[in-house]
Amino acid sequence: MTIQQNTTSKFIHVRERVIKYSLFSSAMFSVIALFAIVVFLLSRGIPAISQVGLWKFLFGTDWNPNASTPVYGIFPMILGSIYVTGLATIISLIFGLFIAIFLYKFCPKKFRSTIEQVINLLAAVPSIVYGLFGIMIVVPVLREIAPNFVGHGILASSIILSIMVLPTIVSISLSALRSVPRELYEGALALGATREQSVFKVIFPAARSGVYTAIILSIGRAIGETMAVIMVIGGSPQMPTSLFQSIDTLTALIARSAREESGFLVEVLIAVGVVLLFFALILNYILMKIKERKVAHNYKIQLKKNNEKANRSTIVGLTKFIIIVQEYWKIFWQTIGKSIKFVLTKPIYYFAYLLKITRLSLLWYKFWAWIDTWWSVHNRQTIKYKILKWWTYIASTCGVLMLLAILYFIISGGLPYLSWEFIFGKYTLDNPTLMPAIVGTLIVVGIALVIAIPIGVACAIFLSEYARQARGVKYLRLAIDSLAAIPSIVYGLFGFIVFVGIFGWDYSLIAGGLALSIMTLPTVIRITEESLLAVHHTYREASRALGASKVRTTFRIVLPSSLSGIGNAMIQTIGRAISESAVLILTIGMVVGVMPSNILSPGTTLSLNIYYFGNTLYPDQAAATGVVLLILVLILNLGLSLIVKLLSKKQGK
Amino acid sequence: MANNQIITITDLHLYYGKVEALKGINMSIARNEVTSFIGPSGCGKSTLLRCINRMNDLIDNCVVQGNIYINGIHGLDGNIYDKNVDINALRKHIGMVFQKPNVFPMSIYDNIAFGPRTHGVKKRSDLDIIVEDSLKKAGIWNETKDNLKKSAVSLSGGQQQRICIARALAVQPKVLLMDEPTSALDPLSTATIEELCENLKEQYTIVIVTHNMQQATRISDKTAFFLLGEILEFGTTEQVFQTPRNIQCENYITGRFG
Repeated sequence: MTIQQNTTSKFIHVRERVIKYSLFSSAMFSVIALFAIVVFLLSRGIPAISQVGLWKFLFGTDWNPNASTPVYGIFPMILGSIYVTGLATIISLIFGLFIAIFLYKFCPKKFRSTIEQVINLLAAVPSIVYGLFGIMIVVPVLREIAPNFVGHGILASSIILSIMVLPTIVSISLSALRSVPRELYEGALALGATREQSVFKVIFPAARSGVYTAIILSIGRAIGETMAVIMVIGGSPQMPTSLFQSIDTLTALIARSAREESGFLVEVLIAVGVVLLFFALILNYILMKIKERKVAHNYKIQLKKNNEKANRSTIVGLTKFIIIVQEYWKIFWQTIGKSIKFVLTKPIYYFAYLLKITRLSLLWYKFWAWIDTWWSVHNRQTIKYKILKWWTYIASTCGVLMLLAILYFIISGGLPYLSWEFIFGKYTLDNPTLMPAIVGTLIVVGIALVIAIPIGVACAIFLSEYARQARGVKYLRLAIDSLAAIPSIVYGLFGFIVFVGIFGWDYSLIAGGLALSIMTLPTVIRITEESLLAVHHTYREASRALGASKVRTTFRIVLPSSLSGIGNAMIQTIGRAISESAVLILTIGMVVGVMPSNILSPGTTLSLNIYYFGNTLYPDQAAATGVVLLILVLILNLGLSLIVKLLSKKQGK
Repeated sequence: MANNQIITITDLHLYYGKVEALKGINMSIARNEVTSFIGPSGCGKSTLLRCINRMNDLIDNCVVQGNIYINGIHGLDGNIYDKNVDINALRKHIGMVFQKPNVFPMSIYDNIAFGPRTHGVKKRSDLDIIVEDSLKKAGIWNETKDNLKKSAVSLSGGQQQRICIARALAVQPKVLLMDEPTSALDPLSTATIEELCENLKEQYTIVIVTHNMQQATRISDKTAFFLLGEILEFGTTEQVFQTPRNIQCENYITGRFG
């Protein structure tokens, strides 16, 4: 019964060190990955840019690589990307912010979780399915409306993208709203503000920094999105001049051409990737600065306090600028609003007065007088917020209807073509089947899991248990955040350069799996770290106080308590790997008809099949594949909530 | 006399960043006695307690200067702040019970067995004996013997705290540090735990931080009064409470401040 003493202490010491350094090296993996991506892209892109000429490349308005003297001006594509992203973000904000407010305050309790789940489902729908919805429904409908009978273009892409980024905006704004202290709301109510006024004037401004985060994140997502856009943008490199016109974006250009072309054009496309990477890193920098400022709710007060400090930093200068613009806008709006009221009401009022003078219509006068008192009693503010409140209801209904529409059209379009033979049969030209895609998907997902989960979890452990305050950790986090911000098509280019090109694996499942695993790494790290940090520090203390080593504490106490987080990370990885197509289109080759024999053979996945079928003669098969993909995603989501439930039950809570 | 002192603290300074939280502590703690630390909040009681098993190492930017000598624990005699001290072995011999019950989210059995397993006990029969023994010592065996497989999180606060004590006892420490162990508990559970301290005294040395002065008088042999990182009064409980030499200590005890 006696406990043996210190015989194993040396062994423990060594083990402790070995594990610490292996965790550290996993953590460094993401730094190396970021470094490699930047280096490889730059080393191929910069020479191409210098050959074309930076100005001609960025601001040239002609893109014609096939001409006898090829010209490579990507300005139309840059404009295309910016227009599409901007419009999508605006549409999505008009709906998303109000859906978040609706869920926060106005939603009846019994609908709340349902609507939240619907929004989460929208997040889980693969982007390629949105693209499919775009070519099946949005483009044909717009074609009817458009003055020039063109459905493709900015409007179609923006609509699809705005649905895609909606969940991002809703979930981030919602959590920002929920983190506003309840006391603020109660304080506003206690001052006699109405429910709507408290929400729109007090809670919402207090959650502003969260909303900024949401906006930046959705811009990042929209500008990097490839496969949904590529299907509805049209794809001609013209200067965008109208909402209904076939144009092109940076991402779509890369995905369409890099696979088919060779020679100098590929180098130019890599240079386009560099431009995208640059956009993404800038957005990430802005995001970082917003997060740093998050503590202060009121920028104005803070600015006055730290005036000297503030002047030094450019980002604060930017914020200041925004505030000034806001102030001017307010003044402008107030004057305009007043004059509108004047213009609208006074003349009629005077008219009525005139009528009164002529003693012809006392009634008229009374009517307008009533309107006037009504207007001043229910002051403009109250009415404005009532209207905003009703808009939250409408926006939420639209959001839910949109998901239902997507599900309905994909399923009704695809279900008739879904059969055992279609899914598991042998692939022939007359009867294209999904079997090669299923095998390819399984292999790619498997590779991504095997690599991303161990490295990601190890990195998360290092971050949360070993490196909370260490000096270099800031840069490690910066690297991980930047990885998360890079658009998937850039990962595709990286895989294309390194795994397909330099490693000489050609288009292969392993190249796709590796590129995918790097892409999902930040997600795994973030989710796992969150769940590790949620483990209360008293557990760690208790274990250490019993004489358990750090490693034992971490692996026996902390890790088991956060298993649900790791399960979550796994499912998210699988989900992303299943839905991702922009990475894979440049790395695994989209060979639809041949069964892959090993990890070095080229192949396809379900989501790539949708793109392939949608672009060729099999639109019905595309919808049917969409149904299969949707069902898979739904199953995964169910599995996720089940895992979380089971694990929390097991821990006796 | 000297042999009776199990822990001797000499000139101990502790800094949280630039703030000096302990300003030169000198004291010795006697074997098989209950020593209580009293004083207002933020005066360094818990900080000193956490120095004794080096739990402060877990806190970032916390710097300790000075020595704490251990006397009469096999393999540990000497300064615990020496470079080559095995911290895990130190913590095995100097156990700790925290302010809030912090049972692990596992079964009662696994909670108690975690410590022994950590230190290399693998045989099921040995573990069974240790678990039963510790639970008995902590006075919770009768309540839990029928459902050792139950999750410890489902127990009440008082029961959880006794599980924590049992868990600390299961690694057979020589010293038990208790950081306000009853502050989160109701009077009944408090009484149970105080009784427990009385019984445990025969085998263990107990150091307890408490805000409850009646508790200090009831259970402790020696009492130390802390103020702003210094020990102003240290002596037998009787002396400290009945004839305090320090005026601030007297004021505190009689409730005139703090």
